[in-house]
Amino acid sequence: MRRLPVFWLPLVTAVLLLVVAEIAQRSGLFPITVAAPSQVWQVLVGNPRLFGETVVPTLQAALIGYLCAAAAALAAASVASLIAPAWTPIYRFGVALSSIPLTATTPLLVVWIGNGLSTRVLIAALASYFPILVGAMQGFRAFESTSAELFHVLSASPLQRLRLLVIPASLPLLFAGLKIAAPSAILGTILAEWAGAERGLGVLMIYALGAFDVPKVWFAVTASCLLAAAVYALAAAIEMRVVRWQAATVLED
Amino acid sequence: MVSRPGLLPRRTGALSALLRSLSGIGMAIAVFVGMWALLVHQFQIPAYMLPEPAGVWQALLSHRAKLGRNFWFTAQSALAGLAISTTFAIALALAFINSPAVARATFPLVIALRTVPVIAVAPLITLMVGRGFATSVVVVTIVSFFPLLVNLMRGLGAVDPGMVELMRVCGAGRWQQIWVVRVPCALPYFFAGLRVAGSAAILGALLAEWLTGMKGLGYLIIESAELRETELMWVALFIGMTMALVVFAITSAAERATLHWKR
Repeated sequence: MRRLPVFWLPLVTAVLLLVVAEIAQRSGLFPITVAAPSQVWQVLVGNPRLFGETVVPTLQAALIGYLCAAAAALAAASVASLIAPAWTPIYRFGVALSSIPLTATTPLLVVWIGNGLSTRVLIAALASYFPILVGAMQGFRAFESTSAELFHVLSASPLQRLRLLVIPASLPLLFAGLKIAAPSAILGTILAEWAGAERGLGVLMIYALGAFDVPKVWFAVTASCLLAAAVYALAAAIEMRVVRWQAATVLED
Repeated sequence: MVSRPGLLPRRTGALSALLRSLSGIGMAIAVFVGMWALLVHQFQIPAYMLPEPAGVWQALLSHRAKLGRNFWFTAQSALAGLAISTTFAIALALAFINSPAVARATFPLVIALRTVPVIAVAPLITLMVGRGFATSVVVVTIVSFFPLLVNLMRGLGAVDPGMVELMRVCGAGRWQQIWVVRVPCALPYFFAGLRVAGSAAILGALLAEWLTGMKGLGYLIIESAELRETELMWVALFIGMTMALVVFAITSAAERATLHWKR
């Protein structure tokens, strides 16, 4: 019974706020730069192709970039945990990559590799690499040293050690990184789309701003925020499944 | 704790340390430019990918009026935004320290502000406050507010409880406590926050100018990239990054200079 209000209260508040915004806009209380919720909804419903031309390309580039970043970060973290001297250089390189200000260098990357999909994928990957790397690197050594000794005493094979000790222990930290990185990939893609692309939410933002199309700007912004929140929620949902399974096996042991 | 007398007479050593770091920076720049020129020359890199240092220098000289104007615009908006966010952060942090009720009431709002992705809402800000100075200031304020607030709260709370106790025993008022004990203790934290906020402010200003597309270094970077004026783009990029680095260096120095309070 106590869990019900936790979920319902924000929802009711959000709906109420939307209704108030709608009424306030219709009665002219808001400046013309604020779109009514119904107008924003009309943007989505009135143009059947809009969703496929804005949300889908952004999501696609962000997803590819995110997966590339995850693969690269996991590989780098594995190398770092296997070869002790490589730990610091890999971490330093990650820090250097993350300290490149994407805001300043995205135009440069667009000049270098063009305004195709690969640029957006690269920028999404750059935006999401570091959190995943930190999560994976810390996760891969988060196992308890006593458990590691037990594996050693029982002469577990390296594969067994990896599968039964290192990976289960790494999951909470790994997912902490994966969760933070997911919205970053979306925002990085939008940034790349500002610098030049044919379709996507970032492109819609620029065009709608240029045309002073208030409902479309609001749609683009709302869709971006919702998309960023949605990928975070998705990562969190996967985490809940995976880490709960992990906790269950630990208890069985 | 061992007292370290070397900590206080820092002022005499500060100048030579500054000179040493300056010469280090100069050497690093020389090596960097040398390697850059060699790279372009050796591999015949086309100018649109990486122009020669001489060409970039030439662009700096021939576009200096334009660069100066846009630099000044970016610097102004970053400073104005930082001033606003610092004022708000100090006021809010003091309110939080003085009254838990205020903290409870406003902290969810602060967290909400924190979770808003600036890249996503910058178009809305542009739409509402117009294309120009105001958008830059609002974006800078948003990106720099949170690191300042967090560090100020941590700093104001990091004071030794014994000192506060002593102040109270001696009959100091609430504001006297804050001014004499909490503020000096909070200064290093404040400058650490300002270090993060300052770099974020420069980048936030670039981001806003990119979107508003009227003035500023961010606008210059994107415009010269689109017009394929690569040399100008590199100059603008370098100026933007140098601004962020200078802010970083100044605030780091201020943080170190105020650390002697926190022995």
